[in-house]
Amino acid sequence: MRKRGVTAAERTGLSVVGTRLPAFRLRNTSTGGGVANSEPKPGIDAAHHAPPSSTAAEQEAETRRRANAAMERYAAGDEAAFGELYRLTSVRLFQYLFRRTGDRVRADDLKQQTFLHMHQARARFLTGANVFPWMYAIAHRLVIDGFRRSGREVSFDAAESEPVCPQGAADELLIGRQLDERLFRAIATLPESQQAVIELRLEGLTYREIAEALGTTVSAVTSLLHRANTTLARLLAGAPD
Amino acid sequence: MLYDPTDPPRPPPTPSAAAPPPDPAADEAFLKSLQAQPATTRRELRVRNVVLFTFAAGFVAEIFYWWGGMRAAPRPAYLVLETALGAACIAAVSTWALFGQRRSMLGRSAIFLGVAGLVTPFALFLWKILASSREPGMMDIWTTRAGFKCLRLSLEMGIFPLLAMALVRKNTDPNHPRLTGATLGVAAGACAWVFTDLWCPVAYVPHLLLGHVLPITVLAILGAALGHWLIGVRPVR
Repeated sequence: MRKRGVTAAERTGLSVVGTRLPAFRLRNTSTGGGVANSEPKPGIDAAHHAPPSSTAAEQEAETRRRANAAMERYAAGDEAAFGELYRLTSVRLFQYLFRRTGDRVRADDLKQQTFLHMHQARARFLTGANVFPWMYAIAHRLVIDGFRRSGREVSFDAAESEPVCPQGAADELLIGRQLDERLFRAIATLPESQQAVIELRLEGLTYREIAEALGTTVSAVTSLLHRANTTLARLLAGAPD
Repeated sequence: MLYDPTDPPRPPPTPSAAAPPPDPAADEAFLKSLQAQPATTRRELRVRNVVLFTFAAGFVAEIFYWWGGMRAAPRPAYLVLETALGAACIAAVSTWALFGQRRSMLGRSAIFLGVAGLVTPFALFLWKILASSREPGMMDIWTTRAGFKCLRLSLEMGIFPLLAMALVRKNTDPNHPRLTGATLGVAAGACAWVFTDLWCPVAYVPHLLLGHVLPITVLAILGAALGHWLIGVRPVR
């Protein structure tokens, strides 16, 4: 267990200065434990100080390449290719939408709408285009429209969550879940522009892809990330342990 | 470091404990239902776009013909050619910049569109003034030509390319549909400028502002409205 006095920002590894948000793992499934540990965990603490490993980056680049190729084949008439695209992207898209909306049913509906839009736009898919910014841009737009219609109610329902590592110590799971909730709630309190950028960054998009997805510039993205980082670090540092 | 130009793509975070696990059966059912829904093929889309633009070009040509076609006098032939060719080049570049998407499904950035949309009418206006000012008498006032006829002609000729471009871009822009629509209006107005310039010999500045520049502004406003209703990505009901 970490000693008291270590801030939540330090535990979660959020950088105050830089915009290298780690690929946060508030649960490290490989070790079966939570974050409350004196040893630096792979994922958060290591990622805070180092870029993603070349293997992870290569795998992610390969996933992107396969998704782009699948969409191109689908646009060319290969009906089976959409299934491959769906398998490559649906889980991460659903998780992104779930984090944005806090509601499983709404996230599922928005996921289906996103893929429906992509299906209907298959003929327009430009050769060489990148699927990920396009997919997230559609999803982001649908989320925003949903907020505007129904009022922004992001209720992160902790009751829906289930322990990933049931074998872990109860107190570690509890602390891990509290950190999960605190981070999600903190992100949900950010201004919409910062939240959108943070969420896409957590999805692994590059700055250029985030700028493309949101229709803005790379410098605007880095500026928003920096502000969001600062705000999150302040919120989490001030949150009770 | 705030910005790393070598910033590689990152894998998403480990699935959060809070996110419910995927449901394979529901996924399969959704994929099946999706396959049952019709979607245009590339070939069909190409045919549809060619038809749209052919109709738009046809309407523009028809309108230009009924308004009397090209009227050179009292401009010398070289001036007509010079202003028309210059305007055509500006309109072509503008249309490429404002209607083209490069290799992105999301089109160009808002800043690019905004700058290109503002520069286009200014460039057309400047080109007309620079070319006409070299010929004596071309910038004189025409008391009988305030500019309302040119305004009407430009709007009539610009609306069809605007509609065609908006229909081609229907349901495509999740980020800034109104801006996209407005810039399509600018591109359509630039195309209309070329024909109006062939028809109208007046280069008097107030006339140009009312009859040639104002239509581009009106088409941009119409385009913004079309962008809101037609070009944006909307939830499927």
